[in-house]
Order: sequence, then structure tokens, then C-alpha cells
Amino acid sequence: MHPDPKMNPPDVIDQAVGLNPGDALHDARRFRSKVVDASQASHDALLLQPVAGLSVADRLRVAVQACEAAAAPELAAHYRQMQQAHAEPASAAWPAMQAFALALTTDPRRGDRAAIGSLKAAGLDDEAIVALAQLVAFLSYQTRVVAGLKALRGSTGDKT
Amino acid sequence: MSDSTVIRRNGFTNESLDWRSWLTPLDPQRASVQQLEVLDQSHAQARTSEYYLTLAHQPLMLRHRSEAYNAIMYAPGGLPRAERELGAMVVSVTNGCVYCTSVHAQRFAQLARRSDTVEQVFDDPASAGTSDRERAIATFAQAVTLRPASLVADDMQALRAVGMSDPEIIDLLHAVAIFGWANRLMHNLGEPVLPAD
Repeated sequence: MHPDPKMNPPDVIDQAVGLNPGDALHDARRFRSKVVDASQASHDALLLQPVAGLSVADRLRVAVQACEAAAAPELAAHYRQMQQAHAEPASAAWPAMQAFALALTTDPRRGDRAAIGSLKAAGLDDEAIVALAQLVAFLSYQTRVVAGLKALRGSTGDKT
Repeated sequence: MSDSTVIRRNGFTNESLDWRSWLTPLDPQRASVQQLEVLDQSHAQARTSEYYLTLAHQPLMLRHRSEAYNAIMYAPGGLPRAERELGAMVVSVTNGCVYCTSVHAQRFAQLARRSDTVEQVFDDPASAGTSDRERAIATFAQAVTLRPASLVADDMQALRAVGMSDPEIIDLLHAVAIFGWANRLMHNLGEPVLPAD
């Protein structure tokens, strides 16, 4: 973490859970500061790192829909807010991306080779498919961490 | 030895499997310096693994995934590593990831020095566990995997009731959640190659 607080991007997980510095759970998360930092760095890279054939706007569409499908309203609102700076229209490949993202979010058991084929048919290359799959898979992690921390915050544990 | 006996049940196994990508893995001969660095940081055998060579198409994304994964599964202190592996194994069975299940069944057996819980998880993760604490971990791992939006304080009290501290609960939550991430890659970008017999 950067010594100057202004240089530290806000932690999306804290915001979604409603945690502030000084809260017991905020400080308990920092026992695993590498996990905190890598989770935020993953978020930043997966959403904002340039990827040929996979716009930031389409990735944010994926994020909003995946979070809505996972019933994660705080994270859906976060990605909707990011959309304000990335309002480009959907690409021609969007319907294939959307179908892939929703299936992977809600039904990971399927393990469907045809789903990868449909992304290729829509024009995504291997670099774009890896980026899209990493994003959707990360969102399954992020929504679960937030859901678990919300439940933990609402329970009466030790406050040390 | 009980921890190296082959267990095959319900389509799952604790044998070492191979994995074949549905994309074209990176050719390590053509990898950039950054890609090789990220591969080496991710896993000791990553340069010869189709899985890591596929993910290396996006090296920065792989770098941060591996930082998170390695910190969650290997960092000292907090929740015992065998219990993190139990959570990983239960999630992998629940998500139908045969490859991940085989790896984490082995890791659990190595760390716990026994395989009785592995058989139970393969049979039915919902009721698996040889102690109240193991059963609570398995129940929680399934709940986070299948109904994350309806997790409530009672789910956390069930873990405290078997002696878990809040830092241990956070470690378990991380381990279970990151297998929601890992399973989706391993089970949807390629397939396991099962032993021939």
C-alpha cells in the first residue's frame, strides 16, 4: 500500500460491505494484506487493462449483469458507477459475451466447450477469451467475499 | 498408506490428472520476459502446464490471480492449511471440477495425513466431515458456493460454535471464494485427462 492515502485507490470490497478504517472487520481483513491488495489489483487489471477485442465498456456490462445474477446489489452499483466513464455502445460480440458470462456465473458445472466455440465464432481471440473468463471467474470470488463479510459484520463475534 | 490409496467415486478421483486446454496455450519459446516471470511466480511447473500457459495470454491478470491464490492457500498462521484444502475440495466437488478436486484431495491428504474425509466429500459434500469442525467447514463451503446471497449471521455462528476465530473465518471465506474463481477457469477453459484404465 502507498504511504500517501490519496495514492491508494479505494478498496472496492470494503465499500461494498460498508467497512471503514477502524471497524474491527476492516482491520481483521488487513491481517491478510496481500489478499486485500491482490483482490483490488485483480479488479483493476480485469476491468481496465487494455485488451484488444474486449472493450472496458463491454467488461463493465458483463460485471453489472454477473453481479445482478449473483444478487450482489452493492457490487452491481459499483460497476454501474464505473460505466459513467465508459459509455461506448456494445460491440457486435456482446450477445455471445453475455451468454457466456451468465452461464459461467450461474452454472459453472456445465464446463461447456461449445461456449468457448461461440465466443470464437463471435470474433474473440484467445487473449480476449482468457480476459473475459478471468473477469467472470473473479466476479464469482468477489461477490462471495462480499457476501461472507456482510454476514460476518452482521454477526456478534469477537470485536478485538 | 491410507493417504495414498486411490479413491474413485461419483466421477471424482484423487489420482494425478492431466489437463488439456480448449484454447491454444502460449508457446513458452515465444513467451515475453514478463510472461515467463509471471509463470514462474504462479507455480513451480507453470512453464510446462497447459493451464498456466493458457492463462499467461493475460500476464497481468494471471499475476494478480496468483498473488491472491498463493496468499490465500499457502500463507502461514490463521486457519490450518488442511482446513483450507478441505474447503477447496468441497467447493470443487460442488462445482463439478474433477481436476481441481483431484489436486486438493491430494493436498488435504498430505496435510491431514489421512483420506477418510476425502471419501466422504466425494460421496456427499453436504454431509462430509469426520468431526463437528470438519462438518461445519464443509457446510459453510457449500453455502458460500450455492447460496452466497443468503449468507447470514447464523452461518458464521455455526463456525464460531466449533471454535473458529474471526481471522480463521476470513481465511476460510477466502479459500472457499477463490475456488469459485479457480473452478470456473479450470472447468470452462479445458478438460481433465483421466487415467487410461
